[in-house]
Amino acid sequence: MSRVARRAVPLYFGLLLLLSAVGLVNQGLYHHQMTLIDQRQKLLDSVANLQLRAAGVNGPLAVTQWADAHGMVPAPEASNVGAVAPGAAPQPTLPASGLEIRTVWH
Amino acid sequence: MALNSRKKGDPTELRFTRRGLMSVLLVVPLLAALFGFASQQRGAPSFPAPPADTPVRGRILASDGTVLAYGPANDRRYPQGTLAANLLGFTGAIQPDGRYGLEGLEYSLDRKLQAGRDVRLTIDPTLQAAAETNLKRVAEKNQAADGMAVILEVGTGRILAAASYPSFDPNHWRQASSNDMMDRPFAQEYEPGSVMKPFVVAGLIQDGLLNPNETIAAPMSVHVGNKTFHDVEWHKPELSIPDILRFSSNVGMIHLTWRFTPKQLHGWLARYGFGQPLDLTSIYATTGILNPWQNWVPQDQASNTIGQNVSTTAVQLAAAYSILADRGVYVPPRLVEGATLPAPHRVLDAHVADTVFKMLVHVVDASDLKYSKVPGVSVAGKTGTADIYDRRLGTYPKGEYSITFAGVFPADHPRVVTIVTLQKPQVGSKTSTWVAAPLFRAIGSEVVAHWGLAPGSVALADSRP
Repeated sequence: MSRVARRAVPLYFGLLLLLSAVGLVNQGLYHHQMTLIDQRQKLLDSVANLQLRAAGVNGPLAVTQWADAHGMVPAPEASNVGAVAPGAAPQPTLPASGLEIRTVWH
Repeated sequence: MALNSRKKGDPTELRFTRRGLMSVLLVVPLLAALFGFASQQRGAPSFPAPPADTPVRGRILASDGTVLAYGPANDRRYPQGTLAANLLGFTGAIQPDGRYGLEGLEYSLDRKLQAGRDVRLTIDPTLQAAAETNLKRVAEKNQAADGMAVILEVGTGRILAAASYPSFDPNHWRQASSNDMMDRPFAQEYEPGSVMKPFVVAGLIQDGLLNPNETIAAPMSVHVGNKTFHDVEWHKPELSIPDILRFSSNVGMIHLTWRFTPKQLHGWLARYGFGQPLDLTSIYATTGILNPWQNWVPQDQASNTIGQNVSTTAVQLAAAYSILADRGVYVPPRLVEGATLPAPHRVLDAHVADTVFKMLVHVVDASDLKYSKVPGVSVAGKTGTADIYDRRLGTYPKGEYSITFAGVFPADHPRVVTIVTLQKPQVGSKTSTWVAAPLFRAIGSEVVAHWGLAPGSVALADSRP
């Protein structure tokens, strides 16, 4: 092996090692960035979903629908509504028909 | 191992073997390194680089700053869900014409939004929500095919609400049908029916062809050409002009319309904006259909007078009613704040508009329209029930109606015009008086509550639709 070759081989391996190290760092940064981008997208999705959920609670449409579903009326209608029973009045249970005569005192 | 198997003492052979070994030692790691980088390039870029960024797209805001749409075109978000969905539309993949917006404002304002500029609408989210909620409730209760509601500010032309039924969630637009996506107040043209009558009366008065104090013979039916027109509500055989509107007398109106030539009537309807473009550059809007007067036969003129054979959109109708509410001045409707629109122009003399407007107050006060009265404020309004033309059948099927109520309040100082329309209600009453008028009142009450006006002394029976 010539003197030049003897010097070039370690240099070559040194550069190869350096290249490997740079590549390793590069790949590490790349994966880190990919992870950050994924996290960013997840956070954006999360914010968007939370905004939607918030609008589902206190957005103008949700408030109007909630008020409507709960029997609330706009202020101008306030004098025109009355209390309404939530359901039909309970019916008394009638005895089964038969030959017996029953008397019910009222 | 290989060296041991060679003949000892042959330096050439040894040198050759060493050279080969060195070559392998030098080349294999290099190839491995190059191959490693090359293989990474197949799956993803070798060097960290963010994904290709789409241009920043402007937001769409309501009048109070509520964000209705934001985010890049390929990841657009609608944080208010279904609110104003038919108006907003949605985005998708880039189209051959370079747009990302596929429907609604996202389509029509695409270039402005893609330039990163926000758009502020005139829409009031609270009123929009009130219009949508009440429209949906009444439409579902009456099993209507579709419907729309518009609230327009008198004097400015600002559209405060434009609701469509059915609707959809633009965050999941792929699950919706094209019928759900239609922006009905702007894009759906329909024959409005009797809500057209006040405009004919106003035109006649303006042209000096009618004295508002006249009394007109109005039997219950009249033949025109091959068609017989009937009145629906019983009335005396002679009617004053306000009572022609109050009873919505088709016969009385048809008697009046002969004072116009077809050209004159056509001219008036066009002046109110029917069959004309809205000049709303911000959104796609149809013009409606006003057939050329040269093609009219007598029954066409009669039909046009009572709001049949002519079609309009709810926004056009609202703008036309604002002429009566705004003392004869037409103010072009506005959907985007700051948009350049044609200047307002006078259509009727102020006293003519006032006269007809008082007739509309009489219509609500004197007729069986208590269900249209918004408690606490005075209302001017008119009902309209029209047959619906079926293009496929080429006729007007029986039992299918378009019902409309056009109202303005407070009548003593008009602030808003409200138009509500339901198409093809299947159950319950199919008349404007019993379906559209209560819907108008429900929305009107929400508007008055939003204004914070104290309820007045007007007491009415409960009539929530």
